[in-house]
Amino acid sequence: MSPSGSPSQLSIGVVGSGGDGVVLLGELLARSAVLAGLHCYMDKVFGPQIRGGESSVSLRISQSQVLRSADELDVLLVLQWSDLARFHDVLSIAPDALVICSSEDDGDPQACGLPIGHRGPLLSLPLKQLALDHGRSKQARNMVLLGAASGLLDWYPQQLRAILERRMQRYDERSRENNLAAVAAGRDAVASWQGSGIPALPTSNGNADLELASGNELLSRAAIASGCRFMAGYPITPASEILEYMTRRLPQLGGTCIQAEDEIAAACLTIGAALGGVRSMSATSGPGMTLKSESIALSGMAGLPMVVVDVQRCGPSTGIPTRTEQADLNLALYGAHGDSPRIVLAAAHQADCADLATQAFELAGEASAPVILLSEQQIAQGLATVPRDLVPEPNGSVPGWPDTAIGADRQVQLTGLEHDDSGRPLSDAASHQANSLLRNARVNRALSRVPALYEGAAEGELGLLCFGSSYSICREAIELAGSRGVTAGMMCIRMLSPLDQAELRDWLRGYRHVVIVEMNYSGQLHDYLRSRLQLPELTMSLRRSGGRPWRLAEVEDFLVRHGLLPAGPPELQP
Amino acid sequence: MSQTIIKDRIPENELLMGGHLACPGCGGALAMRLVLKELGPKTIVVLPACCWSIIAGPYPQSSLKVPLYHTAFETGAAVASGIRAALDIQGQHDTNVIVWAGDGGTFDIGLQALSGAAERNEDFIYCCYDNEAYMNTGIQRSSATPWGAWTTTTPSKHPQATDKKDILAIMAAHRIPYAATASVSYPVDLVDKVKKAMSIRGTRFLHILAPCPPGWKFEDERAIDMGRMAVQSRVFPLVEVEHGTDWRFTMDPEHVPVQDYIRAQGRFRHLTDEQIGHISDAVDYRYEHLRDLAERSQAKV
Repeated sequence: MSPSGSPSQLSIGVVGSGGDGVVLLGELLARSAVLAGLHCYMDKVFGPQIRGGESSVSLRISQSQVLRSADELDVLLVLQWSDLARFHDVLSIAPDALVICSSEDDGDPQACGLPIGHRGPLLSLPLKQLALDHGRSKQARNMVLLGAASGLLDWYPQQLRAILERRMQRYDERSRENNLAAVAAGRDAVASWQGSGIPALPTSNGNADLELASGNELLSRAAIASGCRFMAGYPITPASEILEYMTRRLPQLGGTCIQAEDEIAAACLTIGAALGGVRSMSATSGPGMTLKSESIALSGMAGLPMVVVDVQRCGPSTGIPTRTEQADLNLALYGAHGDSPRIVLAAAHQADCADLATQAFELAGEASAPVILLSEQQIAQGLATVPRDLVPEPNGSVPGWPDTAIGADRQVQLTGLEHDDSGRPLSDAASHQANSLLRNARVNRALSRVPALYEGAAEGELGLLCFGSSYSICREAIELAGSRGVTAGMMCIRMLSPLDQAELRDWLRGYRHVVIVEMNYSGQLHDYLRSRLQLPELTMSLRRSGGRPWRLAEVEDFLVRHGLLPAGPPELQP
Repeated sequence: MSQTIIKDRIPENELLMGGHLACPGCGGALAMRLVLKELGPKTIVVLPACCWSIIAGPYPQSSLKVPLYHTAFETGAAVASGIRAALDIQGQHDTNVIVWAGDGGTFDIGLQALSGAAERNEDFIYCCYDNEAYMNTGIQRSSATPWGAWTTTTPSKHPQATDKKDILAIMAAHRIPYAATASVSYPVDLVDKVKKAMSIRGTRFLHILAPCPPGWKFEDERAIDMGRMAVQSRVFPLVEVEHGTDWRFTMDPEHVPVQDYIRAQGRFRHLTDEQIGHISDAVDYRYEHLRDLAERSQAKV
């Protein structure tokens, strides 16, 4: 609780079937909170189907920056109980949560995942009937639910009205009226409700310059701002939004976006564009990354800049395409034949997608080598508040990659064969050795150009070491440790190759215990670091497969179990 | 066509059970149901990534009563070739091997494997259920997307600018023993083609149009109507071709204007009458070409 008596944060879950408008409902709530000056984070978790399948969002609003959804939901909005059953592993509901659901739903809440001891208020409303009566379509159930939830919670009324108006501009007059009538019907239906236990909202602390954006969107915008004018891709979840964004945006800027016939073609189109001197990129996920491996090696051998984004999902193979994981690290570091050095970056959160996309283009150009930018489903599709001016609008200047440009006036020979510095093929062992050294040196020039993220104490009992989205859980874990009297700090590596070993060694020296935190089964970061430097004896590995974001309770359990954190809060001082 | 005849000509057995995970009104689900009815239980299905990767459903809700192998996107025809070889080595020549691929896995990323298998005249039935875009990943265009259509990667400001790839002609050019188009809206014609394909050895190819309510933007209950109009408007003629040379129309129903088909779908909403006129001209041109092929084939006999 903040001094004013209002809570500092609140979390809301919405579940329903795809096509029910679950994401829209979540976004309207989120955007109005952002307009009211609050920070926000929103996870989207889908079933694998387009429509008819289950769909959920988990929304967390806060007075300070948040980079992951909450462990437990304070409010749950249910369009259909059976859809909650599919998210029992993702959505955890607080025992005193406010629940609003449909009275026309014959699903059994407890069997679908409502906690057995749930003691919070539970309102069931005839969502479908109200939607039909006032919104003229059962599709308006989400709007009825929005009205009910916003009415009960007194959800930033002025801002919600503004956001609704803005959204409704996309609709024709009739749909607009119907939707607004459905919202009003929901609000009226709860107006006379007398129960208690309605959670309070965090009050705004007036952050006027925030916007809500996904990692995929920020990455795309930053790529464009960095001069990227060519993109080739192939549909693959959860990277498709990058292709969709670039399809709309690049032609407006005189650029080109091509949806290729497969992943290999997309990679080679990107190489072709680099050869033409234009900053270019491709974006994919694990299975596509595997297909691109040969081209990544080609780019390294030919000495061409190439930016490839890998938005990781649960693998191997098709795996769980809509769920998050950090298991492509090995693929990014080593995925090609021969000695194939590359620069590997990993984004820690949504805003970091923009930062690293910018750096990726700079580094690719300087090193004339492939740059792999790792993102994750959670960051890529999840929405977070970022400063409105985070990504500059593209201005007139479009830096290319002039060193690589081939043209009528410039004869450049480039080849995947071993070659001399003029590009003439060679086939002797001594040149191969010398050139292998050169290729490594080109990549190593990027060393220490992308510093890690540090939080907490620089020296202490406990150090957490991670990459990618594990940043957000580690940040909360060291805060928790601090609150229990354990001095803790963290480091999130953003440039995984070339690896700044000196920087790592310095950091490792500061802590008695170090835990490497990563979301994959085999401990890919742990093994990689162990192969590169001597880790302290007391280094531990906290890891599990993906499928859902980290919960703070998992990290807490691990630390308590290993004696690195006292259980429960310390005794209150008199 | 009367009820009695449909009942007599379409087998009653069901190998696709209820509770599958297709969207309401999915043409792809109905296509699988009809094809399996004719093929029967002694069938192995090879499934590259597509909507059906999901539709079959997770354990314990799997809706298919035949063995199913989910494979990588670009590999349907290659894996099926391997399975066929292994069955043949073991003398199991009477087990059907089918590939069940979407348009992306057939027209785009799977075309190389399909061409290779067709060139070897591998003994399987390749079914492409065509919903004219990558629907499962959220409606991105494929090379089966028709000219003028909206998708998330061909937004209405610059919609699909090239014509749908003529996959039937590509397969016919491989001189495979049997290739045909079919539609879920003409179930007897579809089932007859499966039956005919089963009576032939070598590579057989069925191109089945599968209307998609969320992707094409029409009401769920109009899927059959949409498939019927595709055929009636001659946008999707029902033909078959043997050995790449003998072409034949299998149905030639009463003609409806292309406009009726196009205007019924939200994905074409941005098109002007003039643009629809362009589609109509292209449809007529292709139809005339098919009629020439069919007439020449007839003359040879």
